[in-house]
Amino acid sequence: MKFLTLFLIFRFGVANSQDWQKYIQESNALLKQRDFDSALEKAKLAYDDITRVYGDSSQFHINIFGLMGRIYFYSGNYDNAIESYEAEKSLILRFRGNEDLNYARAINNLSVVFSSIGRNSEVEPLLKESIEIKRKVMGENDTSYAKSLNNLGQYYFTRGEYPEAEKLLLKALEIKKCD
Amino acid sequence: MRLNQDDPSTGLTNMNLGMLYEGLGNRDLAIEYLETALSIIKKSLPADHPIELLHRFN
Repeated sequence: MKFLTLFLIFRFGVANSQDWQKYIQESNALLKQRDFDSALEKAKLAYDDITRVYGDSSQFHINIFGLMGRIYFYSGNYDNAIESYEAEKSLILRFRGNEDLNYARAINNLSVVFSSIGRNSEVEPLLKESIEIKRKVMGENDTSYAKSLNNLGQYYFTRGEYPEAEKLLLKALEIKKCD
Repeated sequence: MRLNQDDPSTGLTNMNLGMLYEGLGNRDLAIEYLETALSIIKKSLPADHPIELLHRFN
């Protein structure tokens, strides 16, 4: 009987596990419409649902922290954006390791927030790490790798480091042209 | 994955290069990259987008 009860509780939880996916879809749609408050509300519902079904810290939380990071960033709440992206980064490291494209994306997003608030010393190491991961995982002819080269080139340009910026931007363009 | 050359991100890289060459004082190269950037970016925008209107006024 005890086993049956536990089984039913487990099944009930799993049966409702689709709710968070629906909330994430709705939140993304609201974010596209720039309705940040409603997007955040849906994202928090997704977070609560994931936590209820999978516990406090699971790989399903990765999606939700990434989404919350974007919502906070676009609504100008940079402190919370950093907190969300840091949480996303930690979970990806824990569940997938650091040679993962999602990890590269997470640290790239973090660098964008740091750049936006002038924490420049933290931008360059993150962009370089992101580039290195993409190079290892996707190779040097990949578009995603080229986009990261572009981001670092743009960063050097804003710093006035023109020769370094030129080298990276031309390399990025070369990859994109090889279609 | 390969990108189409009309992808907006290619436009952005061209724009960054244009601004870079403008900063370096190479006006001809700057214009070349910025014109390429504009033509790529315009393709990804709706016909009535403000950038299209601005271009008409120039």
